[in-house]
Amino acid sequence: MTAAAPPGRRRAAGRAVVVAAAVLLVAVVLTFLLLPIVALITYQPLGDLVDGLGSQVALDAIAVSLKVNAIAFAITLVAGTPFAYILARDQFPGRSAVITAVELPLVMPPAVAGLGLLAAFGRLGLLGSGLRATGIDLAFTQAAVVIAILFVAGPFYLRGAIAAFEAIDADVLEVAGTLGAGPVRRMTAVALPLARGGLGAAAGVSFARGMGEFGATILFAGSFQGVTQTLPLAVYSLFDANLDQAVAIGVLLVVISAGILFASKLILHSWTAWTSTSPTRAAPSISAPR
Amino acid sequence: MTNPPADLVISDLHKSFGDHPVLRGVDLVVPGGTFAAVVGQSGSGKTTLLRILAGFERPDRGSVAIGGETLDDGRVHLRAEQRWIGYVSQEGSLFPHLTVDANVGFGLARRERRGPRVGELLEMVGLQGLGGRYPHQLSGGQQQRVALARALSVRPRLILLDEPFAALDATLRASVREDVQAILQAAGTTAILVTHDQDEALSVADLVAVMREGRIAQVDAPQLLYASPVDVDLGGFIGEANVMTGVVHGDRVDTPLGSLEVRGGVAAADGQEMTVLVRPEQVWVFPYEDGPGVAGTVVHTGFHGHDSIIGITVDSVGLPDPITSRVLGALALSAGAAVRISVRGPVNAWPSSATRPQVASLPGTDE
Repeated sequence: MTAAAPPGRRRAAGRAVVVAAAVLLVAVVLTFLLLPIVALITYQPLGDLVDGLGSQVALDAIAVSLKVNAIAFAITLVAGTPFAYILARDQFPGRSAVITAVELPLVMPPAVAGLGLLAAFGRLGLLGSGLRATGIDLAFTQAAVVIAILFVAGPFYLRGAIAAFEAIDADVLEVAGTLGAGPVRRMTAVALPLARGGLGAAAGVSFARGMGEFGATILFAGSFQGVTQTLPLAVYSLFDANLDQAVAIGVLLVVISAGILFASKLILHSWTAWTSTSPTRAAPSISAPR
Repeated sequence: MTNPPADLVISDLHKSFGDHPVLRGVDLVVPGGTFAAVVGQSGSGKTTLLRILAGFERPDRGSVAIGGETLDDGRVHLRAEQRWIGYVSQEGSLFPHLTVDANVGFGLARRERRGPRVGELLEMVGLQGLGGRYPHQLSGGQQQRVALARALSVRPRLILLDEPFAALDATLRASVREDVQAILQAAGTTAILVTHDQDEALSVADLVAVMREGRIAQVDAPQLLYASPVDVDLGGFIGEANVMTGVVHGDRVDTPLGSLEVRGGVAAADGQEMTVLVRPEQVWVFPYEDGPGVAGTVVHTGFHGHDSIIGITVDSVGLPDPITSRVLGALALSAGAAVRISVRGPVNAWPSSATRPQVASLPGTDE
């Protein structure tokens, strides 16, 4: 033992260097990530921040954001959940092509998505003239904001929901069939409760992405206060006019995002307790695809 | 509401996955109320057969009917939820988010779910009082009982058991197996157990079907299957066997173990080479150097409590493998001991050219 002291000491010193480097790395990364948020919050006294949020521009943007996101979120959940279930559980030709198509908007720059929506639904777009014939003009309306959010944020939910449904043990759904449960009851009574952790996480990500949507909205729906100007658009329009108010809205968006993040983590944590069907088997991950 | 036991009739069932045939014409009749076992090696198609019966897969050809009602044929295909066939999987597949009560009541009408039926079913499987628990709070054996109660809840015409004991540890397996057998007997439900374990099939079932390469090679009562296998491969699969070559001589066959009586008589001319199957318990061992029987030398012994296994080489002839003998209790013999062996009772024999009509198993097959 004593003879090994010098190399041992050298090893201990080496370990200390590694630990110090690791701590430094973590500190640098954390500082980089959190500094802008701290800077936003401390930019102005709390009173000014509250005043900024009480301005008409901010109040209008809050109202627009809540309304369009609530609508888009509801549509995403109602249409997206069965869609994801079918994609996850049914085998049909072209299935993987459909899944790739669902993921395409995720990697598309939001501004390009906005251009695409204009080209499709705008006045001179592919469907624009047809829509106008029926008296519908989407561009620069609140409906356009909902469409932009659906297009950009919806796929985040779809992708997570497909993975959550794929992770369910096929046997459990088959057994439900032998007990007389048709496709609808299999989904609502078995698949939904089993996938709810993954669905909740996906819904959280999708909602947060929708609240922050900017590029597609400004190109497809414009930025009209009280109509299409959501919180991120208000930040942009106030950037020149009133930086204090812009920062106040920015802080609000940070708080909303952080709230969604913590809520979905809490939900995930409390909902994963019973996903293991057998004490001898490790709890399967409900969000990771198999 | 109670369904009287109905006969299950499967005829000419075919199923391929891609260009890989898994079922190649399965014919099987299971009389109502029978506990049948389908036994086969992995890749033999037994799981696919079960999945077709449950309605999870659709056959390419052939038909399935219960009590005269067609479940599958060229035109008809009832989905799982239309069949009323119970299914118990290897790991029970309980709904992890539901209590035991809710699991058992899943297939019942809403009104019946609150009635006494769930409690009765739990009592039937010996789990009264555990209705409020969640599956992860139960042992593996308890989970399988819940799965059985749940499958029985809908008063199925047929209950399918897909290797339901394989995930249990050995000590638990035997007791759960006996319980399941007793419960099914009490319920009078027709049942099909799929297993790769021939001991399990022989010990619980009234009727055993051996599956091989996508076909049923033989269906018989366990005793008959063991005593009269259709060929030597099946005989060796269903139980331990000493296989050797012999020659027909009159109504007996001459083998290295002496002139042996053939079950059911010899249907071959004198001099015909035969493949002979002798069960280990037919080989009697006497601890003498001289006397009746064939001279042999003990090469290994294994003591199993209720019986002993003895490996013996026959001195006179070169047999490739030692002869295996099973004797009750312990025998005071050790390796190297000189013994006499003789065969008791009739043996099975097949003309040698016809003993291996097919390859033993297809490589790379997956159920």
